Amino acid sequence: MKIIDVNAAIGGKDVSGRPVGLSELLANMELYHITHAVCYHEYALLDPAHGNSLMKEIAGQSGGAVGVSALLDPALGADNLPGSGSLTRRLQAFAPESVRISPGNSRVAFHPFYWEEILEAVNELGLPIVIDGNYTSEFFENLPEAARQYPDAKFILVRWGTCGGRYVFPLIQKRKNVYFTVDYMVDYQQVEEICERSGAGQLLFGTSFPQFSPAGVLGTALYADIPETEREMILYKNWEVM
Amino acid sequence: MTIREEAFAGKPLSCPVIDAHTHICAYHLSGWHQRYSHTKTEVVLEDMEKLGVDCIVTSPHPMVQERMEEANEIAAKESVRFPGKVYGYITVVPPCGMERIKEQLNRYAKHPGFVGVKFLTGYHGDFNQPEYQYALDFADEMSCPVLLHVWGGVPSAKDCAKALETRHNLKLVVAHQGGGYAENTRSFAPMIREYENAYMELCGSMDNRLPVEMIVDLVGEDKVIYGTDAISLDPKYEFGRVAFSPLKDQVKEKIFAGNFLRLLETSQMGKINL
Repeated sequence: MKIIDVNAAIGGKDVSGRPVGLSELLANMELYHITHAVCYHEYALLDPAHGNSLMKEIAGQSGGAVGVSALLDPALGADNLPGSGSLTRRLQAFAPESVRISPGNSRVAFHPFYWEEILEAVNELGLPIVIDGNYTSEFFENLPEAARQYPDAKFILVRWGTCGGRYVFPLIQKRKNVYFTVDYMVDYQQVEEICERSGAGQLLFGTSFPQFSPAGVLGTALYADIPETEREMILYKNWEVM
Repeated sequence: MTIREEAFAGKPLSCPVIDAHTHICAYHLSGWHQRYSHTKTEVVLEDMEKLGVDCIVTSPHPMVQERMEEANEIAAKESVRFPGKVYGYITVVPPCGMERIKEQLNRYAKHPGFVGVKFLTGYHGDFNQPEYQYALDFADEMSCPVLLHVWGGVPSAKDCAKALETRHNLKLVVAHQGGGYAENTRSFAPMIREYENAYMELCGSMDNRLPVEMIVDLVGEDKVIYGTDAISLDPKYEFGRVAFSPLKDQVKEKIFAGNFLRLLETSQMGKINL
């Protein structure tokens, strides 16, 4: 079965302190039967343009097994990426599978007022935008409006959901461009309940490798008591449709 | 088929599996949530069968609100209603007072459906309070397991070591990998290794960066007990952490059931019959 990991990283260290490069990522993917992983490079947290370029280079060496998530800082605008022209133009040329933002690392609230340039660009290009953590109550106050204001952007929340069902259910029901990875959906029968209420169309497979082993989320996804068509949507089809 | 092959095929595991850390009944306090149609014990057991789980050992959720007698009564009734599928821990709730605790321990000590004792330290107060110490003495006398809730380093490995210094018969099962995070697991590991009757249970590991194979390296393959915290949590995540790990099947079988069965061998409380 095809499995696409939409949330992985390269360029950092694993729990033992060992550097994680392409060979370590590929070995992990093979061990856990993951066919494609969308990664950002941790260097991009220091220098987005350089880190994103490194990621692009590494992905190019992977024979298609690895895709690029371009990490963007709201203060850098077009300078987040190599090339010339506006951020939208550069994103178009850079052609990442997704964009990634980190409101926590950027120390700025997730609100369209502060993230306008990036949100305008991903909306125009219809790109998935992974929002990396810092899911405060303020974040959940702002997300519904951002999703409404930018309907062609696909907002992806990663490693979140346990004890969060009271946010998850309304967001999935009322904002069709908000998605969740299932690696932290550990309320009892949470994936099944979401599928029962709203279908599997807004669920994705993500591992947070190398911070976490893919073994747990494989249990969640492969043993979810849902139809095979919905499992396939979670494991890869939803991402491919995006 | 290997356990990994069965897991990648999504099949119930064919090896024995005991979920040694569960809580039946609905629990919607403080943001917790379960798919409501799946909170009845019979439905939980159907869900468990899809993983290949043979039986669960439980401390029902009413104990969180200090409803000790109700929780133990539910465990007793469900163990009778689902023989061989549901076993209970005698849940000890210190705020209920020493007399009520003694009554509960006496009442269920010889009940075949109860295999050990459960402490929800933190929620119910300090590990060193007299009610827990009394229950530890009871468990020592019965040579039974005590499933000890540990979160974020509370209680500490030092407290646990102190409890085991003079009690060589009870089996102290440190829940939540020692507290939910890698640093907690690492701080508990030397104590688990040092004391023959100390064990580490796995559930609630979503924030623990250590994969199961590293926990096994830290505490030893004979010291790891499988549990999931169902139905506070969905069991499939913890199940996956063991089933999909690169550990050998022989080790996985110890974790899934062998180690827990072994620690019950000398217990004078109920036994699990698979």
